[in-house]
Amino acid sequence: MINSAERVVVDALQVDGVTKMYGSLVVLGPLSFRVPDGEFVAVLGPSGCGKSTLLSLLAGLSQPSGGRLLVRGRDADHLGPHERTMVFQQDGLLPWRTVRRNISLGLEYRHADTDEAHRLVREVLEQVGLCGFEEYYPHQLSGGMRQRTAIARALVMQPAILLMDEPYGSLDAMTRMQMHEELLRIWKGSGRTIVMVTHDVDEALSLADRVMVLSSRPAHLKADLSIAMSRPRDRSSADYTKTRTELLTLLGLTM
Amino acid sequence: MAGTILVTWQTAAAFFPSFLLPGVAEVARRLATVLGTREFAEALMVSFYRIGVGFAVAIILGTSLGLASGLSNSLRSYLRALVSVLQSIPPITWVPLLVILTGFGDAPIIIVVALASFYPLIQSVMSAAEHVDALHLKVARILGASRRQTLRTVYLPEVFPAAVTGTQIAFGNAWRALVASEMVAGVGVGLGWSITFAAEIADMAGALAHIVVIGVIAAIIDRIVLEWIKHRLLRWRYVGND
Repeated sequence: MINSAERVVVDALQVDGVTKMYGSLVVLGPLSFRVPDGEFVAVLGPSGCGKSTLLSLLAGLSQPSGGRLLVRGRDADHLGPHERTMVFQQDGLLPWRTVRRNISLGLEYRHADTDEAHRLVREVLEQVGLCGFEEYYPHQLSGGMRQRTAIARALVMQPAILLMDEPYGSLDAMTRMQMHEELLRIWKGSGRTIVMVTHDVDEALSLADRVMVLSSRPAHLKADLSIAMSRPRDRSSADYTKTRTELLTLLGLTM
Repeated sequence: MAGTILVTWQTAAAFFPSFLLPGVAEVARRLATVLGTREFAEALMVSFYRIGVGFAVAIILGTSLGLASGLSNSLRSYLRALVSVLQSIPPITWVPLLVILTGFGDAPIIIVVALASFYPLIQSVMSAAEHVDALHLKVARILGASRRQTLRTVYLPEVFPAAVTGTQIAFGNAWRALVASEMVAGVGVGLGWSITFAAEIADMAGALAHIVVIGVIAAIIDRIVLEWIKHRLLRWRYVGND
């Protein structure tokens, strides 16, 4: 008998000396870090540093050239969407499917039963505020609503880990801040782990528990900061500005 | 468009005696009688049967081979090379050979129709399958799609519009190949044959009446039937574009 106090805590992500090479070009690593269950991590880095490469490794879309990568204690490439799914910078919605049928795509792959699928889709539609748009086609939606659909399509799989690759990169500033609030609301109390790649320091600071800063290629872990400020975060507070300056300096963006 | 043709025709007819180039009114009268005959109905049925079989074979082969080429790079380069060589040969040139191989009858015509419509179809499907959105494939993979599911939910719908457009182009080729091969393949019935026959007995009004029929049927099928099918099949493209 194992009771909960004795259960070994398995990290959501465990990255040990992972490297990625394209031919003889080292684009990433060696990189080592852990992400405990339920943490919201933002990954910052200069463009082209290999942030997205890291995410596609975590997603199992490509294989590391060296090192070991465990997702919830298991090899990254044999995991289903229930373990982790991903949201991309472009929404990647299928234009010939309605919002509803885009969201239920993964459930269809899993052969989920119709009633259950209906219930799950209903649930995430409410979460992302898309009720009433179920029968719209992607080309009829704004950029923000398209990205909400893409997020709903990932959430409906009830993934333990949600990987996000600059999900709000193509949205305007207003929509982006609104989406941040929504994401925090969805994440809070869900116990879900989120790893979000971004190049926006404010995005990282308003959302994450922890910010990892990567160096330029080949990407190394340059800094790993815990952000203790309570949410919603006050962008004018001394704490915020101090951390912000620190991050900008790490990225080489201050003079 | 139709007006231009009629005016040019009528003007030209003024310079020729009517047994060489009958005017619009005379051909229209002839058309009215031709349309009611049993021979015409039979020619129409036989021609439709030939194009129906040939075109269906082309659609099935063109679509499935085109799709398969999206999944395999080696198959694609092989098919590309093959099609570009074969395509430069006018399909009608196979007629004498096919007649010797299969004898007089429907088979040579059906094969020529199939060849003529196969090339544009497989080319549209092949290039569409090659350009399937990489992000859509990633999304399918991350959501746990099997190879078959990816084929059904991403490749097929993505290639579909190209297949439909390809079908429309292919139909024009098929129709031309049908009429032309019916004129030279030594058959005794069919729309193309009706023209050859009328010309042989120097019945210019009859020949022109059938030419009009051939043009009008093609226009109806292309502009109305295929266009309607396209809108139905690609409904999502036309929804709410206002």
